[in-house]
Amino acid sequence: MRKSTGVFWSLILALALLFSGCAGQQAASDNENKASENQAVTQVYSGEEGRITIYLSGPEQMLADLENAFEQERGDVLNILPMGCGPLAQKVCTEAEAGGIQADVIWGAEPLLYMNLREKGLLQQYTSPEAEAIKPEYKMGDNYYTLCNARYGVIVYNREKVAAEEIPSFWADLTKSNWKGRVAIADAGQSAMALALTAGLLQINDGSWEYLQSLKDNRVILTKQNNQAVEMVSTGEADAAIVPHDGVLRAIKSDKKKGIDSSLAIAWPEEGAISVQRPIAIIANEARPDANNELCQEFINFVLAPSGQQIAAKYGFVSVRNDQELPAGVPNKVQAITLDWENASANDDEIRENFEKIMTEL
Amino acid sequence: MLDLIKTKECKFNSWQLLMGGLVALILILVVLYPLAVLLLYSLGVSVHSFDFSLVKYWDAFSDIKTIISIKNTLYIATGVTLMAGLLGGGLAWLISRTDLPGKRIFRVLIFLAFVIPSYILAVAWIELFGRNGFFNRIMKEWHFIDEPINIYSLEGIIIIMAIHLFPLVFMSLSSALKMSDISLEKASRLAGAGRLRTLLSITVPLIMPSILSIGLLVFQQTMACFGVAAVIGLPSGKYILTTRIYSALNGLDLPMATASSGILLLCSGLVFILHNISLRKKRYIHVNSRSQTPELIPLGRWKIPVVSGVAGILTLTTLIPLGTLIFSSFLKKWGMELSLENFTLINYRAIFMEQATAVRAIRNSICFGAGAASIAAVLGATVVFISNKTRLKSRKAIEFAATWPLAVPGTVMAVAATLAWINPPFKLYATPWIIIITYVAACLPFAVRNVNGLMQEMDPVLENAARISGASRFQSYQDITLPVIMPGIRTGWIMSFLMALREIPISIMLYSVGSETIGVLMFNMRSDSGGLETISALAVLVILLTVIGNVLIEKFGKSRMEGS
Repeated sequence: MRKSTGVFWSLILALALLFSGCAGQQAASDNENKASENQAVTQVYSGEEGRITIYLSGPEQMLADLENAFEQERGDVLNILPMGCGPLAQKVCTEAEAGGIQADVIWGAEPLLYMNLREKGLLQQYTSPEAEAIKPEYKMGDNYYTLCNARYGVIVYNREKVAAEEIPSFWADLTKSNWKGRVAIADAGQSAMALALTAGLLQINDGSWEYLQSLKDNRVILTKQNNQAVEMVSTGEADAAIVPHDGVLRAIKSDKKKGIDSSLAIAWPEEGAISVQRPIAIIANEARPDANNELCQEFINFVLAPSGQQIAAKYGFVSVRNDQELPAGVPNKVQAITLDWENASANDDEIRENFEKIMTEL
Repeated sequence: MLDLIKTKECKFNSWQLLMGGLVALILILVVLYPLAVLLLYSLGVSVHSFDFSLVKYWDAFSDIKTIISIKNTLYIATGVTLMAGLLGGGLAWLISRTDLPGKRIFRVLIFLAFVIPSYILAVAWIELFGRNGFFNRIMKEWHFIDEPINIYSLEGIIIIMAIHLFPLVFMSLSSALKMSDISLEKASRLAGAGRLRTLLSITVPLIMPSILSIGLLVFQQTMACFGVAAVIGLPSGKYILTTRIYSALNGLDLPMATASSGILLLCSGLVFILHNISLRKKRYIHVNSRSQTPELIPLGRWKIPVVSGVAGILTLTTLIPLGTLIFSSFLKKWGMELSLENFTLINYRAIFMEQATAVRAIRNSICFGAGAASIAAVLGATVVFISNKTRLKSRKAIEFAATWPLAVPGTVMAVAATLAWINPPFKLYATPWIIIITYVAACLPFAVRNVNGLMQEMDPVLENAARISGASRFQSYQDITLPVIMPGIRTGWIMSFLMALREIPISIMLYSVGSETIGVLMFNMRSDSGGLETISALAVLVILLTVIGNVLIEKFGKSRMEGS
């Protein structure tokens, strides 16, 4: 009987090793050929020719608009999988670990993910002809990825709960005692966007954690995602929150469509809004057919071109181009702080650690 | 696996062997293999590398934040188990053993409490007791309090999770009480024992395996919960283990995320072992005596207080959240006043008109859910059979392995599935099959836990009698064992189906074009600033589907029972 038990468990272990072993050997031999340290540049192409798969995040209606516009010219060639920033990063990262990223193009989330993927050699360089029109402050990543929209970290507040003289005009206002227990922010450990905003707040305060500590002392309310922070302000659970501006603009617009006077409004801090960009990139895959490579490039050009940028602007995203207007609802005089991504990327673990350390209640 | 049973009388013919082998193979592939891959990965063994080390576990344990989160997790799980147990168990006893009026309505209300998604429950709770909630506004108006009460605490999580999970306890213990032998209770009464004494020394011990089995389910389920903890615990900085897992996933630190899941599994395993120790060396008998109807205990002068108490509790747990949900789904905006002016169908229209994939997603969820729930029901019954009726040495380990998905959050299941099924030749990734397989794994614990208690309470005498009377082993299983565990199978099925209809993380990580589910729809609507009112509309649809599913399964179950 003991024997049977042993046989049973070793069978499972053997199976597990076998399955992962198969692929492991393959990866190993590939690596020998290439003599590179890249962990998993896929040599197998899992898609079909003439059709590319895109993992992306963003408002669904916007993605549908973009897909329709692109496919009107090119026919039915896109497999679009919308999934939100968090799942996008998790999915891509898990696939890379498991054997190879299955997408051709990824779009959304923030630069930290792309810097990480580039470091592992998982991205393919591509210089879009549209890139010339991109503002200099948005040029980064040596064309392994391209920034294509910006979101501004701002303060959203509830107009019914915040008196006119209370409306914050500086980030620092939120640490004053009249804001005790009224401010929400997404957890930097739970949301990469929130991590970027935290990095921005640190940058504004010359790297000092004092600002976040004062927020905590002021009993800041944490949420898992940024849109939950907006939701809290809209339902009156919190009176203000630190969030990206585009979701607020869409919420106000959607209220308007229903004939409701929205309770939400944006305060643009004078130290500057925190600009966080959404990159787009092609996943490296040497087995990808040429036709599909071209499709990937066409899609990126399409998103960066004025027409693509205007669709995104309708949903509140700021264009990275120098020839586009700001989306409705973003004042022209807005100052935006460009994040030091190199610094944020080098210290992201530390930022997450410190954030959680400050916020953890024993 | 069945062929390993070493009893002399047991002679399997070849097709039974085949069946057993098949079930064992499915079990290995669907549940054990992803688990093995996940654990190996957390130890540094994967496709890319083989450097075995415990360093991630060491890192995790040497971080004070992990210790705090383990403490918080255990505190919540214990609290929820006790509270849900008392609430669900008490109601089950009241409804099956006393002459409480209005049982039918109460039963429906308890079932409905379970179909409300926990996320909605938490939000409805915030609307009632939150900083800007009705309760605090009234209290402030009347100057009872200056500062609003704070619901963002571990205790807040306990209350909401207990409200969410007590129907599980109720359903499971109701079927146990229905199956347990009345004559023993009658004998105790005849021998002069009081009602309380009979309850404590006869009724409760008789169904102890069911109590422990469902308690274990609640405990493990709570440990793996994240949705409620994120809405109620996170705001005030209360971190639990699942928060740590998500944090690691977000930091793209997959090894740390899997190691944290390993720790969660470890805690869960320890509880499982405790559970088995507490059952060891005890023999629980119950004779299936359907001919006897229990003598209902008259509540007498307690009737009115008990009825109003039950009604009050169910109003809080079911009617208010459900009412909030349904009304909100017809409002232009969550939390608006109820008036004709604010009434709208726009939220339902938004689902079907603006979401191109809505119909397909709902159809997929029903298919995947029903399919997975059915497979899990068969597999689960087999696992329970192996674990209780065979002498296989590792039978308890198999039972634990079959229930491990309960102990990890959905996202980690999706990670395990990705690691397990992305590489050819067994590539199921990016096909609908990976979702179905993962659903089967996720549903299996419900099937196992709901049947396990019933199986343990069954007197082997019954089966032996059938065998002596000349029934084959298979026949005795079909005619004796199956009817006894049928209520458990049915409860397990409906829980599984419901899980599949409203889970989000598994499908958002594993879906592909064509295999969208309700979860994908819900996630995209939620992150779309679609607003709580649209999500409410979708939740109402899910509840409707579940109620229909339940009615169907009840009809099907009944006709089967009568037929056999």
